[in-house]
Amino acid sequence: MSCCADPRAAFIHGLASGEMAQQSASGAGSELTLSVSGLHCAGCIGSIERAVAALPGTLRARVNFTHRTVTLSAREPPLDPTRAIQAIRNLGYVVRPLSNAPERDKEGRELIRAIGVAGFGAMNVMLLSVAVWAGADGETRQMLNWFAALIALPALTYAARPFIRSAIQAVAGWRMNMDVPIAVAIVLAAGLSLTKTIAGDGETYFDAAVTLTFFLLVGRYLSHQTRERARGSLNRLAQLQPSTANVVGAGGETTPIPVGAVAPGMVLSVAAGARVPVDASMVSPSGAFDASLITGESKPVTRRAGELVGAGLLALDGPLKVTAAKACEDSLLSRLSTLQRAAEAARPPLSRIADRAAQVYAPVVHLVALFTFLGWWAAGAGAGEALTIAIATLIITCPCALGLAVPMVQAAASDRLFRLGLVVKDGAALERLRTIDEVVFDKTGTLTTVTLDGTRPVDDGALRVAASLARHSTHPVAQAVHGAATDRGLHVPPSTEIVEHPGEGISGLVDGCRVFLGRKAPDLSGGKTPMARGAGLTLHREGLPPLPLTPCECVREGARELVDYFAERGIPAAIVSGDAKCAVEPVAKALNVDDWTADCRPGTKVERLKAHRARGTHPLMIGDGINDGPALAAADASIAVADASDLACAAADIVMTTDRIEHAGKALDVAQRAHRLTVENLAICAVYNAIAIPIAISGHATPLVAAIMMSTSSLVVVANSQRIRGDG
Amino acid sequence: MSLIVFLLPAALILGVLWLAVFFWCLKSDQYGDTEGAARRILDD
Repeated sequence: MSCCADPRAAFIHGLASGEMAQQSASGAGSELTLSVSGLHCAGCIGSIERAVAALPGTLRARVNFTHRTVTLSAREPPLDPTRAIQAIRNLGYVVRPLSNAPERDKEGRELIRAIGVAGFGAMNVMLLSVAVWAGADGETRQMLNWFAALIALPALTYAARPFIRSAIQAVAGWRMNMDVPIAVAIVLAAGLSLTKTIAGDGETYFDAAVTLTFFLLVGRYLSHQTRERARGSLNRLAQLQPSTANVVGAGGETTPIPVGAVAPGMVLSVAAGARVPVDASMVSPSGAFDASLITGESKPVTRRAGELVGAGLLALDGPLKVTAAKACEDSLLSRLSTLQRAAEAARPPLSRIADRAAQVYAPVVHLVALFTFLGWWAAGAGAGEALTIAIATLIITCPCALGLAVPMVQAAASDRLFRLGLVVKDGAALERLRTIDEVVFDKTGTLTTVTLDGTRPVDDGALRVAASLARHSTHPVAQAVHGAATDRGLHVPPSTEIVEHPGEGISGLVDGCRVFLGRKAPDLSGGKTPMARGAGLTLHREGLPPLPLTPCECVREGARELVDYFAERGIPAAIVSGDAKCAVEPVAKALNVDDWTADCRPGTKVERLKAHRARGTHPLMIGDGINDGPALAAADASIAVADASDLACAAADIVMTTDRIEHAGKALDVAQRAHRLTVENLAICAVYNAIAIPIAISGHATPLVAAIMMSTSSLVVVANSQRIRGDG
Repeated sequence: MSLIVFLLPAALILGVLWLAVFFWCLKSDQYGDTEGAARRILDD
């Protein structure tokens, strides 16, 4: 799998071996959850479980096919996640560690329990109602009514809580939502039925109230599930920021303190491969940093004493001494997230049809019911009869089908995309995605990957030695070397006396032999050759001739297909990259993209997208690095590719979990079909209301008939939404 | 008529029993991975 060569592998390894294992350690053993994509069948489940369970120290491995995760438990807390990740990768799946064990979905569980209770209530109350309709009267009927009350009232008290709570919140805040008419209808129907039962006359409508609650809960749960499923990939930005900083004391000793406690002026020590915790200035004479996560530029940058180093830069050699220039909140990463928040705020207001409809429609529902009541009362009907008709009207006009029309399509569409390896974070994103008319790509990590050149194979022995040094560096090229070794399943020997030479390479002792891995001195200007190939990576071993290794940035599999896909639909593509011109141009040529820009800072990318939007176009941004985060948020719709940085994942509307980038195009298809189905659903609602409301107002519908009609309309909408799974 | 005195509580008890089993299933995570369960049967 090429995923090992990804620059962000370093981040994943760091994340995996550090914080995560600690976080999930609990009780006697420890648990670890990994997200795996590419699962297809029972064979996948079996092979993953067997491979992981075979690792020493693992107690149990369980694949959750629905959530596409693997949960491992170990007897001893120090479970090494990197080995499990590697084991699954070797099988050919894409693995991402989840920052936290998936938390228990409390709201979903409450809804499921409420569905259970409401279902139980609905079945039994209906049973009693059937007896009443069958002709029970007198004392029998009275007893049946009391039984119904006995079941329905506790069941409603429990099951209708989600609606009533939300309705109370809305009313308390002087707002209107879909739950207000629902809560009013349920409470009125139950209250009226109870009075009638006590008085011992007339029909009761417990059945209507409970059935209504049951069906509404089912709809509520279905839409809740979609939102919950999408939430997993969010909010991992915090983990990217180093959580501790090493402060150098007066005597030269270092003490770890929380990053939040760092004050300007403190002298900090940054180890090689660690991130600079806050914006700082250099104290050490010079040091090399990897800024690829910030600028997208993969060549290391050198900073000399007194120069500024931004937070989030990776120190390539060290330990380096720096003086904190700013506190944590003011630092570069924080600035990036601020930039992103600002871009998010500038987004067009979400066109949430359902929410708008509820706000306009819900007051109308109440007014119609109120006037129905007043009308019948004025016309001489008893207060009880008028109220019954009003309740039926309220239930029938209840905007549930309308409320489901949009979220159900979004749920079905998200589910379909999930199966293609795309996680939709925000259902409204599909509405925006449908309207895009241009697409903007990031380059490194999105359209291209860094790998070792397969056409010039390196023998296993040399690769082992190279990987032994390379794993000490977080540079994308070094990661590619290390990735190539692990792909071959080689045992990487330990190395000592590691020194990183800024911008040149890395040296050390492997198997008692002095080794240098890096570019040759005269090659430092590099990068003029096509496809940014041959940055002159060479392995020098004591007593052996230098061995050239050729890392190359190649166009990702499927990238061509994706660009062509957009071209076929008349959607122009553009590339914006933080890389140098010489690295971007060949990629753009290879993909037939005429519109490309190099040397973009995160701010420049945002400006560009803003300019496009000011021109009236709707750009779709596809990217992966931290530097893309603000741009992803500034675009009309955005997709973060597999193994994207956390900032990118947090900013994007859709996060890919598959490395088949061509699937990004399918999102557009699904979004367009989703829109058609939404329109159909809204039409169904309109027709239903046009027929049902007159029936209810004219007094021809009992509350039960109303509840059934309402439920049927909802179920038709739900069923129609499922059609997105079918054709094409 | 007198039969109803037995049948009604019987129906109720069965219903409550079903509800209890349902809650138990929920608590022991029987619905955590419905799709996986369907596929595992093919792997032995």
